[in-house]
Amino acid sequence: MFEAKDLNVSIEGLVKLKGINLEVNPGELHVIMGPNGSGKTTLAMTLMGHPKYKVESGDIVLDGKSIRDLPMYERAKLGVFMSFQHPVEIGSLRYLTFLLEVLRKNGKTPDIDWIKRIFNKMGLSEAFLNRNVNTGFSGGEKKRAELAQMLLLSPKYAILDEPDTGVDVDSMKFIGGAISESLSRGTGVILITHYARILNEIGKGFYVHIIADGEIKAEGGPELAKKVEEQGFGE
Amino acid sequence: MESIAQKLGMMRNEPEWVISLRMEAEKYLKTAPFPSEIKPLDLESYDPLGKPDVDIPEIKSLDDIPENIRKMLLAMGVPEYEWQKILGLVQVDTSSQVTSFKDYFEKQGVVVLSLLDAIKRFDWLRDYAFRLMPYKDNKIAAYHTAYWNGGIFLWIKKGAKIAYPLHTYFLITEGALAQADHALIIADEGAEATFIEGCTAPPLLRFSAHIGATEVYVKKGAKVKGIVLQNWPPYVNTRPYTNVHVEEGGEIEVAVAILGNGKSAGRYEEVHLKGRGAKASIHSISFVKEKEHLDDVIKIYLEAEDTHGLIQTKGVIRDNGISNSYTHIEASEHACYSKGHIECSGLLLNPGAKHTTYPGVRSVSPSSELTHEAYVGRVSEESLTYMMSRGLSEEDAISLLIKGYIEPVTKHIPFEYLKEVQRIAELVAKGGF
Repeated sequence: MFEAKDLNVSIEGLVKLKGINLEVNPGELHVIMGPNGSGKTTLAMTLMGHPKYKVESGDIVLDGKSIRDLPMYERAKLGVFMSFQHPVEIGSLRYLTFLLEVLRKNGKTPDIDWIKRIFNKMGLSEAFLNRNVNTGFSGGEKKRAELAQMLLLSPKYAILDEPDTGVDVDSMKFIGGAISESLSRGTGVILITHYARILNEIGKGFYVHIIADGEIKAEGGPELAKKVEEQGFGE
Repeated sequence: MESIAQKLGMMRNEPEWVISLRMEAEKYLKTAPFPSEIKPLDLESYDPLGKPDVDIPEIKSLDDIPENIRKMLLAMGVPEYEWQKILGLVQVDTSSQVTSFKDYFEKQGVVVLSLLDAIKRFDWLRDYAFRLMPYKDNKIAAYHTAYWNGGIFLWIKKGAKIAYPLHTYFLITEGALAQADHALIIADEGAEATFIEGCTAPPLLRFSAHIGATEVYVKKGAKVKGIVLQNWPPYVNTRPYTNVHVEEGGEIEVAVAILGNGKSAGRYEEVHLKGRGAKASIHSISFVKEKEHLDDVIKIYLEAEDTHGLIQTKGVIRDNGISNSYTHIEASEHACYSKGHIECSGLLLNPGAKHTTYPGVRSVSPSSELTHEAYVGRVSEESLTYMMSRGLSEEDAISLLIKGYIEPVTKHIPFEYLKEVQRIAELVAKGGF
C-alpha cells in the first residue's frame, strides 16, 4: 500500500498542502481532480520526493515503511514512478541512451527490441528513440513517451500528473490503454486530471478525490467525477 | 656559437639534409612567433640536449608507481597486466610479441621503423619529412624541426588494407617518451589503415615540456582513420602539432579524446585537402578539470574541387578549468562545389568553469558552402531532477548527461578504448580521481 498520512507541505515557506490522507492499493486507480493551483502537482511532486517541496509534518509510507526522508532516486528504485506534466527536454541526450541507463539502474535488462516494442505500442516510431530526450516532441508525444517509460519500469505505484492535458484524441487512446495495462499488472495509479474523458478510455472502477486550497474536500466514486464534469468544482 | 641542433644531429649520425634543416630552423627559432591561438611556452628554458627535468624516482617494478598514478589506473579500471606497458616498464619495441606484430604488418605491406632509421634508409623521405610543417610557420614548428629527438615512421604501401589498428605509441617506445617525438605517416595510393596515437592512462614522462609532431600524407584514394588519446600527467606542458595532406579522393577521419591536459595543453591540427573529392572529418572531445588550460586548434583547408570538411568539438569543463576551442574551415579559389561544417560546443559542470569557442569560416569560392554552429551550456537543474525521478543519483545523472553529450564523438572511438574514455567521463562527473 502507498499512503499519504496527514501530509502538510510547504514551498519556500508557503503552505501548499494541509492534512492530506490517501491510501492506494495495488491495482487501484485514484483520480485527483481540482481547480488550477489547488495543490495537485504539489501532491505529485511531494510523493515523488522533489527537493523543492518540504514535508512539514505527516508521512509518506510505502508498503509499511516511511519513505518521507528518502531522496527521489531511491523512491524511484523502490517502485514509485511519476509522469511529469511538463517533461523536460534534454537536448544532448539520446532517448535510447537515457532509457538503457534508466533500466540498468533499476535492475532491469536493457533490451533494445523490447524498448522499441513498447514505444510502438504507444504509437511512437523507433525514430523517437534516436532523438534527444523529449526534444522537438509534440505535447502528446511527450506524454506518450512518459507512459512508455511507465510500461518499461512496471512500477508498484505510478503518479501521473495530467497525462491527458494538451493531447489529441489519438494520444488519449494510447494513454488510456497504457493506464489500463498498468492497472491490470497490479500498479496502483494516482491520476491527476481535469477531464472525465480519460476515465472512459480506462473503463474501470476508480476512486475520486477532489482537492482545493491544498485540502481534500470531497471523496467518492465515478459518480463524483461525473458530477464535477457537469457542474464544476462549485461545492 | 655552437649549434645545439647541429650537435644533436651529429650525435644521432643523421643525414646531411636533416642536420642542415635542423640548423636553419634553429636560426629562425628566436624570432619565430607562437601560433596566435596557443598559450606561449618559454621554449628557450628547456635544454633539448639536457637531462630529463622531472624527478621521478626510478621505477623498476609496479611497486614503485607513484600513488596518484596508481589511484587513477585503478579508478579507470585498466587491468594490471597493461600497467607495465603503459608506464614504459617493458621495452615494447624489443619484445618478441611486437616483433612478430611487425613481421605480420610487413607482410601486409606496412613498414614500421624508427624515424631515424627510416631517414637513413630511404633517401626519398627528404621530400616528406618536415615538409608539412615548414619551420617558418611558427615557433612550435621551428622548435620541433630543430630539436626533434625520436619518433616513428609508418608507411602503408600502395593498396595495402590493414584490418588491425596500428598503435604508434607502443610500436616504438623511443618516440613515445621523448621530449620532441616526430611521427611521419604515409598512406600510399589506395591504402587503408587505422592509427591509434597515445593512450588513456597518463604515461610517466621525464620531461616537463612535450613538443611532439605528426605529419600524415594521405595519397590518392587512401583512407586513414586516426584515434588520438591524450592523458598528460599534471606536471607537463604539451604543444602537439599535426599536419595532414590529403590527395585526390583520399579521406581522413580523426577522433580525438583529450582526457587530461597536464599543466597546459595547446593542440594544433591542420588538414589540407589538396585533391579533388578529398574528405576530412575531425571529432574531438576534451575533459578539462581543476587548474587545467586547453587550447584546441583545428583547421581544415579546402583547396580543390568537391572537397568536404567537418569539425565537431565537444568540451566538458569542471572546477575552474579553462578551455578554448578554435576551429576554422577555409575554402580557396580552387575549392569549387566544396562543403565545410563546424559544430562546436561546451558543457560546463559548475560555475567557475570556462569554455570559449571561436568557430570561423572563410571562403573565396562562390560555389562552396561553409557553415558553423556553436553552443555552450550548463547542466540544468531541471534535467537532473527529471533523471533522478527515474532512479538515477545526482552523480549518475551528471555522468549520463556527459555520456550522452559526448556520444556523437565517442561513436568514432574503438570499443576497447571506449570503456576507459567513459570511465574518465564518470570520474569527471564525480569530481576527480
